[in-house]
Amino acid sequence: MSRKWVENLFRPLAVGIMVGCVALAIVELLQPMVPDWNASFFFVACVLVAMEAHYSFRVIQARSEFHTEVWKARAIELATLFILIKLGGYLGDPWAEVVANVRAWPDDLGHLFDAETVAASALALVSWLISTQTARDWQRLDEPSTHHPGERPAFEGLAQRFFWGGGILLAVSGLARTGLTALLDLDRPSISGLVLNVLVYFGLGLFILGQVRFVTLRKAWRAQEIDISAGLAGRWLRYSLAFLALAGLLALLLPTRYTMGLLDAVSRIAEIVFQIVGFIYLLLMFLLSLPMWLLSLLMGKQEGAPPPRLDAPSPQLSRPDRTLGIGWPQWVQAVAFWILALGIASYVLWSYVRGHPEIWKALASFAPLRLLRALWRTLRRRFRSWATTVQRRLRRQAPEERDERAPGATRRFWLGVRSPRERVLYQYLSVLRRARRNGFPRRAPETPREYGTVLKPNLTEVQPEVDSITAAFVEARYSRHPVMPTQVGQAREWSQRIKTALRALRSGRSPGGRRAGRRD
Amino acid sequence: MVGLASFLVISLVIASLLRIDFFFTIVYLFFLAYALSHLWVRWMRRGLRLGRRFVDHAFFGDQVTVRLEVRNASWLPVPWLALHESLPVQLAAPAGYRRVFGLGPRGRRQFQYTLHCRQRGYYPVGPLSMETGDLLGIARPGRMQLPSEYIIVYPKVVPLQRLGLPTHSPQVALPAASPLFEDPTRVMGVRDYQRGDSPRRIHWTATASAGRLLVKQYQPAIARDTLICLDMDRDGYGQRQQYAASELAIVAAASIAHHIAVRERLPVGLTTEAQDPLVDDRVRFFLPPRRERAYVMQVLEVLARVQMTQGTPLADLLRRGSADLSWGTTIVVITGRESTALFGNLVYLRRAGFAVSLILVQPARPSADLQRHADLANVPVHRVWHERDLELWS
Repeated sequence: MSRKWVENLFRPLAVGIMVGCVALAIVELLQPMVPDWNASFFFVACVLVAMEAHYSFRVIQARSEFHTEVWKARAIELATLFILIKLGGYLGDPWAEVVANVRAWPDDLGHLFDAETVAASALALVSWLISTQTARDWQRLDEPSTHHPGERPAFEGLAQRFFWGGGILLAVSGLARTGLTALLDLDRPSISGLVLNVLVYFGLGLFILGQVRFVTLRKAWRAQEIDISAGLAGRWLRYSLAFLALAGLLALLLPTRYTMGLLDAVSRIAEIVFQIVGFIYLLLMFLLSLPMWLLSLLMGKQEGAPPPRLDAPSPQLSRPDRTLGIGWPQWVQAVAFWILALGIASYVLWSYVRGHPEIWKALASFAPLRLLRALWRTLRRRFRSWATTVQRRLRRQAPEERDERAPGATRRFWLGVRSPRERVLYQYLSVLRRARRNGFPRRAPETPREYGTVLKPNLTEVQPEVDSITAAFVEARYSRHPVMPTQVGQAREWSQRIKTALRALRSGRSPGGRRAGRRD
Repeated sequence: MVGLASFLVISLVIASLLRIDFFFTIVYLFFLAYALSHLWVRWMRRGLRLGRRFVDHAFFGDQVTVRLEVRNASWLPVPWLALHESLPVQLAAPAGYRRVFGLGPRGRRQFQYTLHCRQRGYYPVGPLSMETGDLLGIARPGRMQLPSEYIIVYPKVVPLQRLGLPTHSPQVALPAASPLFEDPTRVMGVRDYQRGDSPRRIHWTATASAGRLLVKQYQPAIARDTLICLDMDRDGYGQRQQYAASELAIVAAASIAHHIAVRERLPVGLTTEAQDPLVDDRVRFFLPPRRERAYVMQVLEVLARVQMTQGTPLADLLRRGSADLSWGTTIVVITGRESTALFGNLVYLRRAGFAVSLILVQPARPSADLQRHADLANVPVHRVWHERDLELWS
């Protein structure tokens, strides 16, 4: 797009449209209050004044050399605009009425400065000011960079004006739709539907900001005499449109409605968590009491007694009147919405604080926060040292038990759930534990048979049992064929005899055993 | 972008208060623009690859082409990329290469520029800085850097027609190195094999017992080595023309080394003490005389790097440099200032069995006393004021 098209057509048109969007929102707000006023005229006047201001700024800047000339031109311009607005206010009125009104001006200035004219003029003046400042910022963008201390960069000025206008637009447009009286009603339903002037304002504004960013950068590059590759402007335009389209598409897909308030959503989540916990509790109780109930049935003591029921308690934490009638899709939508909303607010705040470290420092120096941080650090340090101590103690105990425990044998919390193979392993390991307590620990490199040769001289009366349980352990540990339950019974017998012999040895009663010397 | 964060929060509050669905869409739009811009810049930085290629050794007068390559390894386009390569002012004007361009997804761009080697030295090429950002100016621009690499520009070598250096050989210039000046009957030892040694010199018995290649070392009848002793002390040159004189001295040293090694095919070495930009410190260089042509490049590389320094007396350099030289080696002293002490050192070296020659670069007019010392020392003195004086040497 050539520069002339951009300066003479696109820029004033864009400013006019954006100002018109805000003016439209103001007109929508005022119209219910003053239905007699010509709302269309207000809107058109603001748009035309904004466009005119852009042209007049450029013309006056080009032709006037002195400040006095500029002020004179401005005064004439504003006076002309006022007259035109006044005349425009008469549009649609009968001619006789207009003449009578004009004749009354000298006698009663209230006919000249009536409320409609004043309001229209005020709106037009604001439009004119905004457009003039925007035109000035655009001119500064196009000119070679000259740094004036204290002067705000043009891009910043444009962006801030855009955000201010956007905020006012949202507020006014929203008030126009909800109404002032309904504002305080927090239970009112949400208003759906497209708000065209808001869409046009922000869409056009973001696009323009993207182009302004490019112009700013290009000016800086040219000032540094950097070669700019051809086609960069076109590429920028395409990427801007694609980026905004993508962001817009994603924004349309995200949830905007919430049938539940934030507190309701939080309480609903808490309710579900409690329900889950309660269900797990009941399940545990059921599983624990089921064997007792079955046993009582078998013994015939409680005939017909029903098993415990799995009714999960449902603590009513939320107010029923708010959650009744809300299905799961709406609930999920509401939760997703609140997560997004809170996520946005948190992310923005976090980014802001991260970009302003002085705020972080100020917060850190705040006394209650400092105390909280110190407390947190202390708790964390204590917890870590406790965890380290526990780990160290477990490791000290674990090596002896680890040697006795066959690799792959797991400890089960529930008794009687072990397989025959595991029970055989358990019997052998229990013998090892007892022998260690009696001063015969197994050394790490010793195989079961080697350990057996160490134990047997001390337990002469149970030497066959020692051999047998060692063989049973080796078979259970290393073989692939299944272990029979009868072998479990045998292993239990052998381990009992060995333990008895060890007990006797410790007490010194065993006649056959000789204390071959404790192992260190 | 100034005000975006505040606008997001305010618009979120307005949308929540007014409960208008479309306003939330606007909030999402700005938040997504904010978040996507940050993510885009971060991914762009991760996906960009920079590369630089050039020949890092060049001769005086050469033009070296430096090629830069920028590659986008990600699937996201790069809307703009500002590239800035710092260049030494001695080799390029302006002292920087700058471009702004865009890169498509998986795109690649190559650039090249030329360095004009119009001054010898050791120069940094780079660093290469790159800056990129998003379309709306929301995220902070991402910056990357490719560290500097260095280029060595050898000093100018002036073709010498003839050198008037004293040697004990009946012929100053021989087409090839001759074993006449080594007595093969008098083996004075063995040393490790060096590239260029004749296989006939290999001492097979010693090699077998030592397990590595050893060659015989013969007693030289007369050494035909040449050692260039270059004075890089500021006090060795006149104050007014210090820089020009020292550069001319380096050109002289380079030209002599090249002539001896390439034209006369005789061993040549270099000793000097100077500021070395490679280590940013004063360094004493001693390159013993060797005859390989590739060795000359090492000599030239040292001459390319050295810069003037302070407090490096020539006498000390001569004494240390001559300690490891064979009897009969020719020592060529290059300096800018003659003095009684200098002539005394030269006489000492002559008496020690070396052949000495003095090259004065842009010297001041000698006093009568100095002239008498020069005559008494009986040392050939060559005076050089311009490069053409080297060319016309006879």
